[in-house]
Amino acid sequence: MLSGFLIALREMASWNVVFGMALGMLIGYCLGSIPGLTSSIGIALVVPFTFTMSPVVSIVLLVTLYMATEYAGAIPAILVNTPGVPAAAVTALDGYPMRLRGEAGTALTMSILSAAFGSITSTLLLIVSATYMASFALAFGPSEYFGLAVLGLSLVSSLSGASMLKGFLSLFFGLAVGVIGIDPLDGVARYVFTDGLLSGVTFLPALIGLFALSGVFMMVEKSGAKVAPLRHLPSVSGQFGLMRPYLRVLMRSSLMGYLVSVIPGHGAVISAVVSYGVQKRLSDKPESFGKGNPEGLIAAETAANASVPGALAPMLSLGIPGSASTAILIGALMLHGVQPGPLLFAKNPEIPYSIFIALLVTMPFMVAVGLGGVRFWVKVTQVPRGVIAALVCAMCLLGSYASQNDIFAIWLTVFFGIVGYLMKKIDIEPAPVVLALVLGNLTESNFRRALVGSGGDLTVFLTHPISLVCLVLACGVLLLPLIRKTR
Amino acid sequence: MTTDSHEEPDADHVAPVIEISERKLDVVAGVTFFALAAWLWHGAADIDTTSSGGVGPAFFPRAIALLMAGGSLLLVLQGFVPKLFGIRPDKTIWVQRPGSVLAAMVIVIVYASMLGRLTYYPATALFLPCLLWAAGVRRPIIIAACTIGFLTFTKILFEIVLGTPLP
Repeated sequence: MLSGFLIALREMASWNVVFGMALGMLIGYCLGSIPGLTSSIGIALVVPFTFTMSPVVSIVLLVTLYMATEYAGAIPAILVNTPGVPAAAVTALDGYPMRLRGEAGTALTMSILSAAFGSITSTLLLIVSATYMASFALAFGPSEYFGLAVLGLSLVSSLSGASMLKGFLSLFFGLAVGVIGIDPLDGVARYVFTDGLLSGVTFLPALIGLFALSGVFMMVEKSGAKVAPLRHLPSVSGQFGLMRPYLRVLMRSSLMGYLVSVIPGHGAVISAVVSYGVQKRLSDKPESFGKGNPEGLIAAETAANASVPGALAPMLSLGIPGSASTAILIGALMLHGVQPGPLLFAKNPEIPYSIFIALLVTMPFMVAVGLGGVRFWVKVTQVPRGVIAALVCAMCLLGSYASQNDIFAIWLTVFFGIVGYLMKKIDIEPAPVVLALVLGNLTESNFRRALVGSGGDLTVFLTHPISLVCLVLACGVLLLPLIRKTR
Repeated sequence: MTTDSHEEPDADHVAPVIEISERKLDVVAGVTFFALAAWLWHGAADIDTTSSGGVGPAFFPRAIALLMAGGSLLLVLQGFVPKLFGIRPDKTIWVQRPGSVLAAMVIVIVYASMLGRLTYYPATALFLPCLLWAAGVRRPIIIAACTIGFLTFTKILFEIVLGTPLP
């Protein structure tokens, strides 16, 4: 582990890395402050511009952006009762009533200090658990990888939104899109009806379309809605002593946020909801929750931010995305020729350890920028939706072009943007499509490799214990929501 | 048209709105997914099946086609006979400002087709004001500032910082 940190420190000793962190943090704050722009949209938008950077600078920038976006969503949630990111809706439950009581500065200070505590504690847990999980997964062969990929795909149940059936259709759509192009084993062309598809449906333009461009169309729908005005800007105190009475809440919420989000598909929202619920149950004044109880604000904000390192754990150690944002991070790493998974710690130790260092080092600066720049972030929340929609749309198309240097990439983005919008309108989540695009190839190639090795004997997946355990777990993950529903 | 309607959380009460029954949309989505599954199945017949032992390159697409066809039929059935699945009353899907959304989609498609012919700067100088207008921005000064600002930003980013040629 120590050698990994040393390698990463050597790679990170450059102004480019510092610049990457600062840029990621600023972009993250801006995006998170704007309702409708989530961390997955932000990462998808920025990835094309990181091609010319080294993998370390690129991943440090993207992870910092991810972390900053998740925090900054709390600013408009507290000040104008409009969550910048979905998880901040839980923060708003007590944050906004605090602002109405004239305690906006205290609420903002508490939220950022809670975010910092949750993130740092969770990062320490990530460092210990991810390296252990990866060393365990080192002995995997094709059948184990197939089992792991199926387990990853089975997590569609937690990414499906309201309807599991629609989630599965979204997953199958993603798998269907993934088979277009050259077959991974025999090199045979499949469904290539235009030259642009010879190398398959490129991940990034599809992703930008599904998440960012579809989000633009959603914003155009709401472009007439008035932005809640905020005339009196609060000043924040930055008093660390404010948090002393809430140390137990901080510890409990950090742990809960991390553990919940390690389960792939259980991101910031579920972490915040679970932590808020538990804190309410344990509180002496449960009736004051939702009316401006600082415990509620701290529980939600700590857990939501602890979920960022938590979601990175399965991504780094097993190559399975823990959330939509980490699915995009996997895609970003693959574009740099880096494959997340058990071999990552052996082949590219600078990547996971740079992420660990970035998560720890950036946090104090994030606190400073968050506390010092409140007035600016508040102004960002007041930009009209129509302006944001148009500029984000232009960035989507330009970013898509930049990722391939080909206008065909723009067509892909437009196609997936319209498909993504239609999917969202009929309650079909686009996240399972990303899951399928990330894991489809891994599933197919390892399934076929394992069968080649066993001479076509399907029991190979049941005779290998790890593959068997993964397949049984996958069945459990799929069946559990159905059993719960029938009850 | 619908039996139970829900208020859209961020509803803008003066904006034009289209209301559609979720069940009807489910049926349309189910038919679309079924057509996609049929295309996938049919296309698998054209894949060269070279021998590599185990299963060939057409196996996976066929398996996906079967699963997708099954799922889409269930969705269609769910739309027609919701009671069979124990589904609650129908929901209304709201599309606010449908004209603006459609206009934004058309503008984006026209931009993609014009980009090769007009090149980046003239195409974007036309595209961005149109899109801002479609997104409800009416003040000429904001439209001009956004367009000029974005073009300047991309010139600096792509030509000076990244060194990436634009179309």
